Amino acid sequence: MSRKSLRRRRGRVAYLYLAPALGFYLLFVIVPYAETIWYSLYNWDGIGPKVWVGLANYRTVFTDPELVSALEHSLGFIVFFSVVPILVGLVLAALVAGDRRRNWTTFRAMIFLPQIVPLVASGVAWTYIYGQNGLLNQVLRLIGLGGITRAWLGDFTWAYAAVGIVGTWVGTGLCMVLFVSGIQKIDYQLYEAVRLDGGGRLREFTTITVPQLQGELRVAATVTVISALAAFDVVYIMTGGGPGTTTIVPGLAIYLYAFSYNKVGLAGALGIVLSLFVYAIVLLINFVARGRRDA
Amino acid sequence: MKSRKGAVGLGAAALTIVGLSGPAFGGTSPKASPSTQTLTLATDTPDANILNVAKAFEKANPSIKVKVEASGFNAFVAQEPLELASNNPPDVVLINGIANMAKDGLLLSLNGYAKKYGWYKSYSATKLAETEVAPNGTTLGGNNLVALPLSFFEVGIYYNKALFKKAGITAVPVTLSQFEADLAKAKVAGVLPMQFGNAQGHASFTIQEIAQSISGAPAANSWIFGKPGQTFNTAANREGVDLLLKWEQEGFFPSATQVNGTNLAGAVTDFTKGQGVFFMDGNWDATQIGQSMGNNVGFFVFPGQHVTAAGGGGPFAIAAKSKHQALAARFLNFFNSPQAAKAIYAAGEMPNNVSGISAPAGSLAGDLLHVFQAVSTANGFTDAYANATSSMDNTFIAQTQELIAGKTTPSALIAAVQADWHQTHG
Repeated sequence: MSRKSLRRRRGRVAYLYLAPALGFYLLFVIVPYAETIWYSLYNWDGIGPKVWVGLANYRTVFTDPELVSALEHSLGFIVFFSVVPILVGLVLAALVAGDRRRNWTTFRAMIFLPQIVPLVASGVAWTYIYGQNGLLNQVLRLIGLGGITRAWLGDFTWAYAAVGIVGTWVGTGLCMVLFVSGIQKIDYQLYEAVRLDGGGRLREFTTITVPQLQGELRVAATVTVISALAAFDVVYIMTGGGPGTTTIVPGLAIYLYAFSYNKVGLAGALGIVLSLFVYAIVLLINFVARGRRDA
Repeated sequence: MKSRKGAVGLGAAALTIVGLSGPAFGGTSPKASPSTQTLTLATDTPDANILNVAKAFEKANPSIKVKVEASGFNAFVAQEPLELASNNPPDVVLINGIANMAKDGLLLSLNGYAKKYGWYKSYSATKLAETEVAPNGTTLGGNNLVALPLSFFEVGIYYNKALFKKAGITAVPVTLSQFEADLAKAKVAGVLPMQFGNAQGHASFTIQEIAQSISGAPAANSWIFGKPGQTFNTAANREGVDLLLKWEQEGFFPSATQVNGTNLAGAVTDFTKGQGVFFMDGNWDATQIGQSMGNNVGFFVFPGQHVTAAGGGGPFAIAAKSKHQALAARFLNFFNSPQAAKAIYAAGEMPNNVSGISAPAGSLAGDLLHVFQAVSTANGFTDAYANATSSMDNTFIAQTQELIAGKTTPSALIAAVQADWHQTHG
């Protein structure tokens, strides 16, 4: 048997192995996605007759002030769900992994814990914490800041940040654990080289740790940015989009339009726009990260 | 109809898992004889109300089993049209807002059964109106009955008797100006006049109760039902919105952020802990409030020219594709029986037929019953403003939160509410 035909046969066998997963992917991801595109061109309540409206639903997505602000809010969440967790996670990881005397297991477990708790449960717990008589206000009163206590989730100025902080709380653990494992793979001699050159911990961090974590940073950014743009559970549980529409996000709007308002077409259009948003930003992250590595 | 949502709230999610185990709630017995028939009933939360009635029905009809399937509020509402459209739908379903279900032909017309069983006589007209659709399938208050209410809600004012006295109030107010004077008295006496949580938009009840006490129930219902040419921009609604804002500004409610950041359950807890002389809420929280406050709490109908109460009923419909329609209709008819009335009342809700029910005068239960009878007699029941369209609840949530926080004006709120109404009702 020639090498070429062997390779071809291996190729065919490979597809056979892939077939089940591909089949499921096709059936449960690609087909529904195509269907959603199709629905998004209609006015449809999900059961009754469909009315063709062309791109009108997409126009609504980009002109309806509430939907536009939903898209803006999800972009803003990138700061809370992605940027801050990555920065804090980097610093924590450097501190934890750089300490050769203790291994910080308990601390790491604590920071990672929010990843394990279901988001809905976290949302309920945080709702209590932010309440008028919640933990946050109790602590504020204890340290003499009773004057600034408020029902944080009911405050037009603070509700958005209050929800965002929950995203930070969840994301930091993931980032830290990713970075710690990355740092452990870095050749220790690189750090020794810095030290021989007279560099301190900060120098180690900027010249060795951060550049060596390029791959982990890319993964962390991709995962957390998706969680920011696709945020739903936390917002749904904590504020339902309020007060007013200050915390509405696309995920919540899609849910409301599809299942409460019987506007499946508009919900589909918003879903497609959101998914394109996510693809674009993830591609951008990967492009930037790759570009820097090649440079 | 949907008005109870707030009360159901978070518990619904937790109950979902329990609910899915259906048979635990009087399900099909394995020993059932071949002649036994099974009715499937789909609802949101497995509350005592419907479970008790299902049990009472099984007791009265030993050859019929009622299988109650509860899937949790949000899951139920999202799936209901799809379940009804499937080839194997539940026979009887709770209706949390008819939305497009009648228009899409998913609900059986009950007109024939209504005549057969005399529902037009046993129920007052306003009690049936909210599940009677017009030929277009979405406007309510029409001629085609598609669901029958099991029990009724009434929104009114709870009051803390000790704080009431402390504020120097001597009698329950019967006019709007008396009520406002009482709120001011409480303020002067240094107690919070009115407990209030608007995280879920319950301010729509404040607006509605004020407005319909001025305009009467029929005007309110016409707008809620989507009758042609209706507008939200009426003098009565304007007064409701203006007073909501004024009461917030005068300090009759807690601070704006506390109001917007507190949900119904939180406000109920605060009220039972002695925060607030008055509290506007429905009878769905009566059991909890009564248990916490004992004899220190009373309930009165919202004061004004017209005796009205918002809330609506908890109606059940028969699936158009049900294979046991006649049996399902028998079950609906059972709602009006004395056994069902007792079961409903024991679960803390109001049955249609209260003739066999009594409660000690001066107790919370007595007050609730008294108000219910008064509103029934006055034909003053209304559906909730928040049920006018499927998105109206969220419109009210956002708009009233903005109004209370000073981010919008009464005129803009009224315009936004009417714009939502126009999208559905034209």
